[in-house]
Amino acid sequence: MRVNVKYRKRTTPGLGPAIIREISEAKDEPKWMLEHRLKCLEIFQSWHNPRFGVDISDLDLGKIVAYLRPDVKKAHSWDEVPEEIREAFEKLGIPEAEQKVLAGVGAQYDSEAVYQNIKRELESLGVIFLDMETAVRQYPNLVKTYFMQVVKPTLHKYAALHGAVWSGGSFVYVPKGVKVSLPLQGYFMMGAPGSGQFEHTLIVAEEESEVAYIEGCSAPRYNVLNLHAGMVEILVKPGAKVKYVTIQNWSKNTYNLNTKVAVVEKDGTIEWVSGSFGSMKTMLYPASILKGPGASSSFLSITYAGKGQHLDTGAKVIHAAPHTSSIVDARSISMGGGWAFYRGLLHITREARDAKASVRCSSLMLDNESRADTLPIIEVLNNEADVGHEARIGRISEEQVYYLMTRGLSEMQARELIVRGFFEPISRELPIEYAVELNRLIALELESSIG
Amino acid sequence: MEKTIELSHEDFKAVVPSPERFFVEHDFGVEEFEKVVRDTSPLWKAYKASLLDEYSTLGFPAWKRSKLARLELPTLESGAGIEIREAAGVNVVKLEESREALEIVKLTDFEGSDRKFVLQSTVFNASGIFVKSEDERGMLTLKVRGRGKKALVFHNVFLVRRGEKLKVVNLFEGASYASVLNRYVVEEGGELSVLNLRFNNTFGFTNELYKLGSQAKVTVYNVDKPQDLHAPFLMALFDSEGAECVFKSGFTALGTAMMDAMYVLRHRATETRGKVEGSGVLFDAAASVFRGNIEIAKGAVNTETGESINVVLLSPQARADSIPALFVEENEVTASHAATVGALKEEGLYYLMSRGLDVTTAIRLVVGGIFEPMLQEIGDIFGNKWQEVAGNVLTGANT
Repeated sequence: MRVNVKYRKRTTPGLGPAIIREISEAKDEPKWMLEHRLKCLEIFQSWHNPRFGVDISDLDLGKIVAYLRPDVKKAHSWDEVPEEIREAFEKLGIPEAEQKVLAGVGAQYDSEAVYQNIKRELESLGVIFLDMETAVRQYPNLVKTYFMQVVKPTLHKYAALHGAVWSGGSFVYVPKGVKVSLPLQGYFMMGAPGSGQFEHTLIVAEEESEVAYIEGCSAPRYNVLNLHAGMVEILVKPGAKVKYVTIQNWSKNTYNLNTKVAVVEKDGTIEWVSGSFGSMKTMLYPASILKGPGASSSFLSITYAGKGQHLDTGAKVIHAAPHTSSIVDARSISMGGGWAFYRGLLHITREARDAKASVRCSSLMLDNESRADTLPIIEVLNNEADVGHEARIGRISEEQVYYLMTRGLSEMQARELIVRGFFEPISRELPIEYAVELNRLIALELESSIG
Repeated sequence: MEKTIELSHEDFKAVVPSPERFFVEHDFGVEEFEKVVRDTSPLWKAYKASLLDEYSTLGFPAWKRSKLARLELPTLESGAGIEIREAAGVNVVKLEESREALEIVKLTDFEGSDRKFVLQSTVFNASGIFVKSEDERGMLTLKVRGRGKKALVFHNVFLVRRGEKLKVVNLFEGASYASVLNRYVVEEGGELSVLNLRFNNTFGFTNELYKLGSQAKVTVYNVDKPQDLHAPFLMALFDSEGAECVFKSGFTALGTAMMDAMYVLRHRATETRGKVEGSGVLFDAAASVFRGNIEIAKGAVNTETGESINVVLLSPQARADSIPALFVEENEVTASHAATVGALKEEGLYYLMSRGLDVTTAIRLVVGGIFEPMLQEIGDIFGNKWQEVAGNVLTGANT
């Protein structure tokens, strides 16, 4: 899907203080944000690359365009969105889904939001759902309190890079006790070749509130490399519940170096549902920091690595308080020469008495051209925790295929059904439109690979 | 050289972390080298000399989990010997007099837990041995006991010849610094059973390589109780079809002692079977790291392999890290791993105490129960005497 879009602003490739000032000026930001960006740039420039994960030595940041502003005004109705961009989102079914199953939608094309809308009744309850730039201007104190407090720029080199060049993303604020019944959605597209997308999503769920957020990502394929280094920060206050769903389908020339962290306070809950299908190389390890007693997290993920893909994904869970609990269920499929690598950390601190944690990894290898690895790190620092882990790597059982074929299915249909069953726990968590889309994606990938 | 971790696939490679390094004040050098090569053959001397530079320019690894920066390297005990007991059905010669052993060493070059320790043992060993099986009832017991504040450095090579059998008991006790390197080659249809008993060594670094021929069978029991730190590294190379290898580990750590173990199963032939099983009990502020890397290369069809780790923590200050990893490039295989970390089931303790046992005895009984299946097997293979010794090491009766 290629879209012909004009740009109002396009920084020269590469990075430096001048470009950072240019971005900040174009966004008409307060001074503190410019200072924050410049500090992050310094950290980025002095920091080393990660000492694990995918090889990023061929990622030349000097060639990446950090900021691209499409020549459009942000719209609150799809009719106002320029036709070529609207079509791109229509093909993904976003406007249709908004009407049926969503409470609000933010759509971003390259570096800036092109569409933002939220149902009126939520607005009247005090729910804020804005693109990040607008939030910085309209709610400077609120944003400043939380922005990059959950993820510090010193966490790793690409967190610092993100802090320097971030653009777009969503700000979600749910007041105390408010339960948002339908999910909010942010959809991010990279349209231009050789560009970077660095959207920042910040979700603050006040005490006893509830919200679900769906994030979708995609990009057309070009011959030059793209970089996505987004960041998601989630603060779950006491008794609140946040569900974060991501379907990532970046084109297979994209480096996806993403950072997602949730801090969960007393009796709060974070639920991650994550599907990684696209990109050439990914490093993504959503982290849950269970800071308050009784906090809990669940992480459910599917990673699909096909031809030309090296996806290094996993989950981090830090139990830092008593009576906390967590579940990780990570599944991967590798086929057509793809490499799916699960890398996880489960850390139980000395204080996390009576913590309960379980990590389960399963990998399905559809051929012997592919590779599936699992590397879970489990660290337990007290004697009142209950920790279990299991992992299994295997193939589709020929007996199952044979059985299904005796019931009238073709071999292709049988294999597709088994793979779909493997995905089922995640498709079950998605709104029906998205689950259908996921099944279509699986069928397409299977056909091109083994059909 | 057989690298410990290599991560690449088609056009992709992954970043493998390499440790920072540090140098100790009095590392071994030319002076120690001259001492240990006095009686070696010219071929061996030349080989060791060729590695000396690499050793001297390589610092010790600053392992983060083991906090190795506090390492002290005492002076080298170049005259230390291995006590050989219960030798039957084996031929034993001094390692560095054997040309055959040198050929094996060159063929089994490996990185180990860290290249520094493998090089240290290879270059500075003075009294290691070369053991060859002679029939189907080979048996050998090797004992080393530490003496004072000295570094003990050994390098041994074992060859189980085609269709023959060998049982080896390695007992290593009370050294303030021990770097041990063992290479085992088991030819087609050969069977090897090893019992490693290593306890009360202040700093211990063990590197063992097992190279398996077709249908070869290897079973290794590691019984450990470190004084300060023990870092055992065992790697099995399944190079021919039908080979089988089982690594079983039992460990107990008290005080601030630490176990930092790594087991590697490298399956690269068809129809091979592998297993790693670990059980550990940690008291006080003791800590353990248990790494198990299982690798299956493309083409190693019908591999059956797996690992399980269970660690029990008996104190709120203890710490257990488990890192079970699978690296798989073949889909016609069965591969799994499992790990649990937890506390002793209190019901069991209460029951025993309600029958009149004091808490220490009750704990000892429950701990004994954790190791019981492994101890039984040790008894079946090596005899009751060794079952008892292993039991005493693990349940603390020898402290």
